[in-house]
Formats: sequence, C-alpha cells, structure tokens
Amino acid sequence: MLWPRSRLWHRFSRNPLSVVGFAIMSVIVLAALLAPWVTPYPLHAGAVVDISNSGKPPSLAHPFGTDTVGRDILTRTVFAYRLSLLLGIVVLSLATPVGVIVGLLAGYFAGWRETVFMRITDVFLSIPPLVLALAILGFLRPNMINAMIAVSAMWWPWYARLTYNVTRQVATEGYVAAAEVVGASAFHILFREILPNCAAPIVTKMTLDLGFVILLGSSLSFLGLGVQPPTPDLGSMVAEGARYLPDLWWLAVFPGLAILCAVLGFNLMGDGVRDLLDVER
Amino acid sequence: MAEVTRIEAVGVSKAYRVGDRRVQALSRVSLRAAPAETLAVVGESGSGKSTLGRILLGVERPDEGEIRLDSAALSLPLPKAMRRRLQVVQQNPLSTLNPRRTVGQSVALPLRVHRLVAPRQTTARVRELLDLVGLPTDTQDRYPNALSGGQRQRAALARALAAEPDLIVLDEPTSALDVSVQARVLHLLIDLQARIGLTYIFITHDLSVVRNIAARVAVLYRGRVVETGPTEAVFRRPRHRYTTMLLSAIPVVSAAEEAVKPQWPQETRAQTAEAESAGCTFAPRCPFALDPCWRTPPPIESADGRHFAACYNPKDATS
Repeated sequence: MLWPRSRLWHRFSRNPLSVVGFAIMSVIVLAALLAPWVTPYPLHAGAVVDISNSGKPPSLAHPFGTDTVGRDILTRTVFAYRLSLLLGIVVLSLATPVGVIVGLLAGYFAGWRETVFMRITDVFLSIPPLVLALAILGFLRPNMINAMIAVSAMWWPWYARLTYNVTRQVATEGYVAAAEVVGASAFHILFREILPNCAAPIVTKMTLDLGFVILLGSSLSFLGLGVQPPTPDLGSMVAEGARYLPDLWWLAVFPGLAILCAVLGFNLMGDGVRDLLDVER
Repeated sequence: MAEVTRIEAVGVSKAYRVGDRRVQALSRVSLRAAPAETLAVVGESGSGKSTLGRILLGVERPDEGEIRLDSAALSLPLPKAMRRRLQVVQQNPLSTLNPRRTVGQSVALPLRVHRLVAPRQTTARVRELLDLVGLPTDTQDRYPNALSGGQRQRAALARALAAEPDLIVLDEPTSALDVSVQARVLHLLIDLQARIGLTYIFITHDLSVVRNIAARVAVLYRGRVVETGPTEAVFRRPRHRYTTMLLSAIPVVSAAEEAVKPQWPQETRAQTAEAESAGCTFAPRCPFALDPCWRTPPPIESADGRHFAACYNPKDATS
C-alpha cells in the first residue's frame, strides 16, 4: 500500500458504518479464533449431555440459554463461527481464482474463448444459487467438505463476470497495447499488466461476499445438507431450535442473530473497503 | 527509384464492422519510409491514421495488402525477433505506463522479453535508457503517478528504445503535452534519430509539428492517401485541396507567415461531409469539386516522381 496506515484508516473511517462493520468483524474473528479460551463452556461444543440444565432460558450463567440437552448456546454459537468463517475462506479461495482466471481469459481474448467462457458463466448464473448447491449436494454426501465444493461451484461465476467486465476495460489501456508491441507473453499481460489493475473491485467483492457465503452455508446446514451434528453450526442450530419455537425461543433466535451479525458486519466492512479502493483511481 | 526502403505499406485496406455498418478505415494505402527517415502521416480524427499505425506495427492484420520491413513481408503474428524491431510511443501519457508497475519495470520489459541484457545488467541498462531520454535515473523506482505527462512520454520512449528497434511508430506522441514540453520531446526525438538512425512514422493531426520533424509527409483523408511527398514541397505547393485546407487552418502570428499560407474559401470551412461520393472522398467538402470528382476516385499521380496527389482539380490548375 502506498499510504501510511493512519491515512488509510482515515479514509476508511469517514463512513462510520464501515467502522461498525470492522468492529463486528473483528469481534467475530477474534472470538472464533480464541473460542476454546473465551467461551464459558468449551466442552459444550461437542456431544455433551447435561440433562439437569436442559432448555434453560438466558441467565447470567448461560447468557444465550441452553439447548435441549443442556449445552450452552453462547459457546456453541462462537464455535459455530469457526466453521462459518472456514467455509467463507475456503469457498472464496476456491471460487475467486477460478472465476478470475476465466474472466481474465474471456475478457482479454476475443473470439471463441470469450464466447465459450462467458456462456458457461451465464448458464451457472441463470440457476438460483441455493438450487444449484442443493442439486450438487444431491449427488454428493452432505458434509462440510461437500458443502464447500457446492458453494464454490455456484460462487465462481460472479467473479468471472466481474473480472471479465473489468478486464475488457483495462485491456484497452495503452500499457496493455505497449506490452503487446514489446512482445510480452499472454501470461505476463494477463497476470502482470491486467490483473493488478483489476484487484480493487475483486478484493471489495470478496469482503462483501464473506457474509453471503456464510449465509448460504447456514442455509445449507439449515436444510441438513451441511455440517452434521454434533459439530455446532449456525444453520443447523436454527433448524434445531425452530422445532421448539416459540417456547424455547432462545434456541433459534441467538444463532439467527449471529448469522445476521456476520452478514451485516462483512457487508458494512465491504462498503468501507470499496470506498477505500475506489478513490485510488 | 533506387532508394533504400526500411518499411513499406503496399495497397493496405482495412474495414471494421460497427454495429451492422461497415466502415472502411483504410483503402489501398501505400507508403514507404527510408532508414533513418521520418515519415509524417497526417489526417484528422477518423482518417484511419491510427489504424495504419497498428498495421505498420504488425499488431493488426490488413484485409488486403501487406507491410514489408526491409523488403520482407510481415506475417502475423510476428515472430519474436521481428516483433522487437517495430515499437510504438502512444498518444495518451496517462495510460501508456501501467500504474501498478514502476517506471523501471516498464522500461525493463523489452529487455526481459527479448533477453537483450543479462539479468544482472538490467538495472544498469534501464538507467542508461532513462538517461538517454533525459530522465533522472531515480525515476526507475517511481510509479507513473509521480511523473508529468512529458516525463511519462519520455519513459514510454525509453521502453520503445529498450527493444533496440529499427522503426518507432509515434502515434501523436506530443499532442497531449504542453507546447513547451512538446518542443523538448520533439528535440529529443530528432536528436535520437540522428544518433541511433531510427526510422519514425510520425502520426499526427498537427501540421505545425510535421514541418519540424518529418522529411516526408503523407496526407490521409478518410482512409486514402490523398497527397504525399517531401515535406517542403507539400507545404509550399500543396496540390490536393484537402491539404490546402489543412494548411490554411494552421494558426499563424505574423503577416509574413500569413502571406505564404494557402487561403481557403471561408464559407466552405463549415461544410460537413454528410454527402457520399462515389469518387473522391473529399468531394462533398470541396468547393473546387468537378463532375468527375463525384464519379471515379482520382488516381494518385505525380509530375516529378516525388510529390504525389490524388486530385482532378489540383491547386496548380486554377491558381
């Protein structure tokens, strides 16, 4: 980065909502990383049964209450963030490179590569994401790994589309023509000349997307197609808790709020990142 | 003619599809430049001069005709060794250098692509090149946003020179610069030509620059060469009416200059080229157009074998 940290922060913090997003995100990430040390009952992340404490409403000992087998919901929510974040990171690190490479190739080379890549992308984009993920999970066994594969498979086309559009614009710049005249390889032109100039919108989208990937992952496990018990997961906790509404409301509400916070936090933060990178040009 | 030719365009045509319309960017354009010579290609925007530049560079394939470098026809895509010999300096200083790469990285690119120096000598060679174009050597660690327009064009020139080319296409290299900076960049170009023996194709819409840099000039109108010849001859005795119009539009300050400048009927200047002509493409704008001008394209002819024009009613005929 070209600026001192303080100036970056200054630009980022011009929008107070970005700072709120950043704060939410920091709390979530830190809590998830340090879950075994910051949660009151780390053992409750596994298959523990404490019948005497089952179905207790929120209290000082259990701020989010306990579930039907007496496990602390706060603890399980924080541990569930670990999986959600892992899902987000894995999905984005699979989907982004694939989408970016497809978009670069389609945007830089006119002709058949553009047609083939972008039509394939359009096919994927035309299927509702959840339906596509469900279809893929219909073939594969429902577990964490396959959920990641399914979500990645529906996520890369967005990066392909974004990178394609930016690439087409960047490809008209003089320095790309100059590199061609110099005789630089297509590899150099794509990854050294064009890609660094597409990075800003891609990074912005990644920040914005983390929240949505977490939401989609939760939707899958809500439907029983993601993480399997007893591993705590926000989606399956909401699904489980929904059966006891409205009496044991805290079972579903707190994990639900946790999903909301994650999506909101990453979105607000993404807006801040966009403000940060946009002004640069 | 027994003159040596470095680069030659022979009957080059190129058409583009814009929507469902076909636009003829170039029609049977032929021109040539000798080693260490500067040929200016002059024309208004849309005359096809930049397309011609890309075809001369071997990055675009003509529909018809061919480009010959030292008498050998270019076959596209160019082999690497040929690619190196044809370089370019572009018009827009804001976009010619990658904002994410240092000037040094940009200038070193041809060195690395063509392995022109050993890797450990790259930095030294980049310094040498920057020095050659009059940039301080610490420029190599800077990003383009720290450079002025003139400095960026110098850096772009250093990049072109790094390839050790035979020919540089200068596509309006100074038109985006301040007048004072323009003059310095032009001097640099002339100086380098004298020292290295480069051939320049100088593409411009600005006739006042041409006289200072080019030995010969080709005037392009709507994709055709309407007049070509030694710069002095074309400027002193323009034959094609379009050339006359261009020359009359050069702003001058002194009465002496005004006296030698060709005159153009005032009222016709505003005419637009809406009408289509089957003959001379300039006929719809030309107050001197005769009947044949509208019917068949005039052939490009010369009285002395040096100064050519494609006009049925050239200036000499009436005045």
